[in-house]
Amino acid sequence: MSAPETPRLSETFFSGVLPENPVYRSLLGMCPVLAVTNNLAAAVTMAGATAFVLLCSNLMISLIRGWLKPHLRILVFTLTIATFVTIIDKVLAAYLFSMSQRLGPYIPLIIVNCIIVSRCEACASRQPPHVAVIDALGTALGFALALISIAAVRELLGGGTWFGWRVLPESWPGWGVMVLPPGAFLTLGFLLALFHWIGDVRTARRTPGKRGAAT
Amino acid sequence: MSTFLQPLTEARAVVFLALLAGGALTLVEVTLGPRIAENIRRQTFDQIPALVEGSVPEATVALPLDPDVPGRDWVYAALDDGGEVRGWVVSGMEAGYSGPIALLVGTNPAADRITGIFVLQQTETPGLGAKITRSEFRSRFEDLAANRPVEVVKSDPAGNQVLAITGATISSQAVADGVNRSMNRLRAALTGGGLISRLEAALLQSGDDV
Repeated sequence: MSAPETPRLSETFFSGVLPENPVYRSLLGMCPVLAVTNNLAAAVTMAGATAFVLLCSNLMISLIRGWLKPHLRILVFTLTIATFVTIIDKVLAAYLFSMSQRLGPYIPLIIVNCIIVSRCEACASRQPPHVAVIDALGTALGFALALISIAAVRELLGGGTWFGWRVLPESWPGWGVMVLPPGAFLTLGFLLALFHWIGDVRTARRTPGKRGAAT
Repeated sequence: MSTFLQPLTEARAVVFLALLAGGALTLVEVTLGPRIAENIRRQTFDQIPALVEGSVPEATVALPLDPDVPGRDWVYAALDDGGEVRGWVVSGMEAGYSGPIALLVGTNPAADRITGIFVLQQTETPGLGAKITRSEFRSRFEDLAANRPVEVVKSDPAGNQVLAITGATISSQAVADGVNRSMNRLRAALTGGGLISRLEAALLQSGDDV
């Protein structure tokens, strides 16, 4: 994706949402995807926290991209990301305390979420701020979609609820495995397959040769 | 430019960013720190009726465990609406496997029986040491003697012994150590540290304020 001319902003935004979805296409950020998707409330909070860090980090790195020496850039990325993650961690502890307790170590683990470092490296360190922000927004939306889709399945099948509200009738047995780690892997696997199948169907319907065969 | 100073010059952007980050985090700590402390405090108070039966959370009196070292470890006098002491809840910190564990231990008024424990904060391994927060582990401490040390064993607990979590012996031991230390300090505060008289003074004072 290093074309000589900058892609259109709308393309930059949209690519992070579906075509280059960070979870379903690039298989990044697996840790929160598996760990905090057993209920929708936690998944949405994680999506919001990651979006905040993505946005701020991309903006910051883009603003200082002139200062980045090649051998120090990862250090700078980590410093910036860690600062913003600490900030959002404190904000959550202050205003959403019980959710912060439930998410536990997974908020600080946003620091090592590959999605953020990869956007900083691939986009923010090379593009002007407005492009970096649009890229961050698209990627954040894509990540949120992935988290929410998996959490919706896990919470619904595991307990018949969404955000704690009962959706399925009481007679639904509640597949406990869905809210446990095996259920996370199973759900991710099935949704990943679904995502790629839909992508293949859409590619097949397009003009042949425009995008080439999927690997 | 000497080869010694060159790395420092190259890193000046990093140093500047680090200072900026430090400043931003200090700002966040100063503005949000009190709110977070209040959240933690409220979480503690919410646990007291669960740890001490019959207590009324609004009547709880918080006292420093050691009046010479105020601020960190507290003992909460769990009172009922008649003003009678139904039990004590002691807070303490113990070093766990991967970080500090913040504990609450509830006892009866005589401080010779444990009524329950609660883990406020921990950073143990998820799925292993983190199981110390589950009621399955915490309930093993109920009705143990508070005037003898609690031991952690790997099988067949008897007497004042607690079964460790499989694969998390160190975390389980840390909780037991924290319980023992809190109980020692509570007994010291009750016998020699004038805890009862400090409680009465605090009740008189709040009575005057009303």
